[in-house]
Amino acid sequence: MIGEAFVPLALLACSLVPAAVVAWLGEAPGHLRNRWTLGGAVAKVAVVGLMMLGVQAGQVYDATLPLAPGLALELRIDALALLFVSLSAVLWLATSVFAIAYLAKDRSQRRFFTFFNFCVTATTGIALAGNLFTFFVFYELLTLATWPLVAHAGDRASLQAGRRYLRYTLAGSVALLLGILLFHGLAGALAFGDTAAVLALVEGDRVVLTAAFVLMAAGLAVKGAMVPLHAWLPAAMVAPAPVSALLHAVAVVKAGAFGIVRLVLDVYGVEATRELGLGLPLLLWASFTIITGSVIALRQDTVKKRLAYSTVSQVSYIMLGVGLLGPIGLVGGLVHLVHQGLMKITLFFCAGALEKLVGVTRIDQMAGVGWRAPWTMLAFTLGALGMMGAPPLAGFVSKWYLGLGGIEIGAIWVLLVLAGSTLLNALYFLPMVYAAWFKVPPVAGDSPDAARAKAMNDLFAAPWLVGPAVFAASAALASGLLAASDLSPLAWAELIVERQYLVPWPVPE
Amino acid sequence: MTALLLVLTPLLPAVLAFLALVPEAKPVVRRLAWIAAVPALLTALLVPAGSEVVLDDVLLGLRLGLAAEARLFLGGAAVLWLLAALHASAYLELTPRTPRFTGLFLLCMSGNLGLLVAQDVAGFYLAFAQMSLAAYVLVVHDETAKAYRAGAVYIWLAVVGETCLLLGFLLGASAAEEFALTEVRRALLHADGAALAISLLVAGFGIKMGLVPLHVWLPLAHPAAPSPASAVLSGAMIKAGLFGLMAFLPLGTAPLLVLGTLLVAVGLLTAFYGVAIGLAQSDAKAILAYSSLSQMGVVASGLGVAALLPDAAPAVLAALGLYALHHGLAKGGLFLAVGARQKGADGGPLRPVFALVVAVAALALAGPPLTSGAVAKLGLKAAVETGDAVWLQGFVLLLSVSAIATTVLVLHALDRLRQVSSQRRAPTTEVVVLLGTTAAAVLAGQVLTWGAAPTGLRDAALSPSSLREAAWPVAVGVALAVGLRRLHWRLPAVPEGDLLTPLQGWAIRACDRLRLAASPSVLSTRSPMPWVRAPKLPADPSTTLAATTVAMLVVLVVSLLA
Repeated sequence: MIGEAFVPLALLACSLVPAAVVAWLGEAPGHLRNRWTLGGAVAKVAVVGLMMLGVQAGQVYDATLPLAPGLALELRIDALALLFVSLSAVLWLATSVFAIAYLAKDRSQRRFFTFFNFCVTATTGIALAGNLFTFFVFYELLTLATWPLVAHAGDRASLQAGRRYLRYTLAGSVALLLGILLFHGLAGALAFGDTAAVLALVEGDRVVLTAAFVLMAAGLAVKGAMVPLHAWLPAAMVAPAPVSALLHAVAVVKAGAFGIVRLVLDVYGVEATRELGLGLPLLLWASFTIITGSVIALRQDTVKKRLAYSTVSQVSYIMLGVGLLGPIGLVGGLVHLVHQGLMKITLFFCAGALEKLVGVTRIDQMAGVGWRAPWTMLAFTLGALGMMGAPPLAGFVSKWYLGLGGIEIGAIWVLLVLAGSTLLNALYFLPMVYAAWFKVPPVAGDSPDAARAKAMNDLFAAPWLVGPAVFAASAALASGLLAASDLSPLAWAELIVERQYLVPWPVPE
Repeated sequence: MTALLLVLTPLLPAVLAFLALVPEAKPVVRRLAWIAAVPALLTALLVPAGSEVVLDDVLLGLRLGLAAEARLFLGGAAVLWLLAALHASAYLELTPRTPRFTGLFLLCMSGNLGLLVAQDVAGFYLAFAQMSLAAYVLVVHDETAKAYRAGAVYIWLAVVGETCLLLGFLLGASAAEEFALTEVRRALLHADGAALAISLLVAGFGIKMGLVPLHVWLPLAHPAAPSPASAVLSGAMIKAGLFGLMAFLPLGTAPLLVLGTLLVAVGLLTAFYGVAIGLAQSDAKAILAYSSLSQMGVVASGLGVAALLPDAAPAVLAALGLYALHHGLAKGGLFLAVGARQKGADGGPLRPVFALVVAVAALALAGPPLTSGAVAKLGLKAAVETGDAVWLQGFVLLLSVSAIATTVLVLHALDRLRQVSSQRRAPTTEVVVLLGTTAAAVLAGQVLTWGAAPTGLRDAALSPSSLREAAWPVAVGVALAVGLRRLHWRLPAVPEGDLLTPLQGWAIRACDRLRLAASPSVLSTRSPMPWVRAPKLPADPSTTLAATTVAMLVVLVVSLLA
């Protein structure tokens, strides 16, 4: 059907067309550029909304472009793809608003917004990819599109960070490519979801399958920032705040995590992964990353760096959920894909707003900042509490399902990882919250309360800078508070697992 | 109506908490904060036991309802929160920090009242965590060094407690394969991992109750908080720990030997330890805090008896509810009295009224005949004796000894309360509010405890033998106190938080070490994987990058075609 093929392409076009137009428009007319960027983002949210109804009803959209026998670019929208696409569409809209406000005085906005829109195109492609080949093409496009954003400032530190980013991601891509080749050599060109074929191969080609899995997982784990492949991410913190926000919540890191989800669920399948005994190593690696990332975060003294290491830790929750290979854990991992995005983008919006509004970039400058930027810090507080897993925020729901998933398969030790992570998160987030609301900035001649009486309303002063943070924080609150409703990310994650991957765990005797 | 009341119980305080931060609504909310507790009070009075409302969309399927044993807790907590909110509106000076206090006070109230009506684990956890975390702001409100220290100890123990509870709840919910509270409790009786779950729950709730050695936050936080906040901390919030244990421990079916022995031992230890350290305190609020500690020890030991003797469990649980009601309002009233005195609302013609109120509240804690304490203590003893075990005689005797100790301690508190002084004379309206709420809390404690006691217990409490039974420990206690006073209270001085002082030196060193590590450029500039050296790229990598990507695609296409 034409309609079915049209929809995925329309989704790509929503961002690709603005990218081209912004490039063509040139540097001068800011309004037009902003209108195209926002218009594309709004259109995309609308298309995603329509598709959601279709997918919920069981519709599968598919667009295939055969390049050669056995090689095709395939775009397909299933429930899992839509989970990622809807997250990126909504957060991209928020980030666009934020970026326009954040970069209002920047000199190279044309380049920035061109690649910004290009980047979302690539992410959409990753989400919609229907086979490994398509996935890899868009995965590499993403690498290409993100580099100018990371190095945007153009100074020495940015260029260095950009180079480091390239080294890591290229090395990862090589591993991924080798893995894909190995897999194709054995299994042929399989569409995502055709896992029965892989299961049939497990008996005979255990070693090759395992090697291919390891190569692909390692390649994906670079973008997914799993320790020790994560060092590019904190270095990339030199990028402007909107870029950090999208790197961490939607695009690059998420693409890596999403890739691992696809690898386990749709390339190998839960049963083959279990047969090969690859769940436990993934689980251990994720757990190690969760704890190590948090420990390193403790030692950071700039806001963005601390947030970066927090991402390293939090994204591995997704890998943890997948590695559990049981239905409940899977729900936890998938739902965290969305939840982590909402909470982390809140925190980065706040970091950016603090930098622009009150000039705060280091943690020791945060004293009393809650009184100078109350809405920003309110959003930050919600995000931080969510990361700790405090109810009713989104992070609580993720942690709840991951914990239940761990117990479900008899891995009680997963609870210890979650508890350790909670405490470490408290250790590095609570002091920031505390400083913002309870410490008093050194102000000459004013008593603490007098200094506080001069509180300003940052939301009214800079609505486009602070508004996105408040929006994302509200979304994080709502998706936890209304987790049991039919429209929540949790309901969607449950739908995915129920529909696509329901595999009862063989209960140990 | 039932459903509406149940929903409004936690919701109204939460909504008002948000409004307290809106600039235009701030002053109104500050004055009318007490309204937030009204739905809870009505729920306690009107909602039939066992009713339930299920909100399918909220959290993980929120269930609200009123369990039979929750009614007394809810009533007592609602009255105390209401009076404390009124008290606070007169007690707090207007500063830019006041809205922060009002908002978080209401959020805390929402959590405290919400956990009493929550009927599913996730909802309970939400309410409990909300209460615990929000209370931090109440503790540090004064922003003195003392308050910050108390707050730091409080928040870390609270976070650890929450984590223990989360794990316990997860294990319980997993065993029950359901989130309803009653199912989880049932599952905790037999399921694998139940022992682990119960240990975690006891640790988590034990921190809130202040069971030794998890009590160190309590004697720091109560004195540091503004008095209306101390009142709810001591009168309502620490009861949440007891309520949590009652709600989740599978009591009344089979004897739980380890758990019961542990609770009896730790409870009695806490009961006497609290008095001993309390006597070595000089600040009235610290003494009252240690007295709360000691009383929570008594109820914990009662809970232990219920765990050991399933036959006695229903009676003991009912008696503990009554005990919590009595203690919550009497102790809450005493903290409010300290607040009234701090604000100079006790002088002038109303001085005898103030003295009477304080005397009734303090005596009630000791439990001489005719007071709420006498009923509560008799109820507990009678309930314990419905069990069948040789050691119960000894246990009951220890309860009487603990009453002696409590008497000495509250008299010590009264002595110290006289030294709380104020530079100012409160204006009449303030006096009415501050003193009125104090008196109302104490009076409500007496009336409600007597009113809620079963008829049999009320009659028994008035019988000559019980009067004697209630009188002698108090008489001995008074004699001891007088004797001690003659000796000028020659007792050693122990810093508030006792065990904490040696622990803290160690903790500070550990924290310092962590902070020191947060110096710039540690790990951030160095690659953490020095053994993997990526090939050096030319200075401008973009062309190389593009070339590499294209090359990879070509390799991929070619190899797939082959």
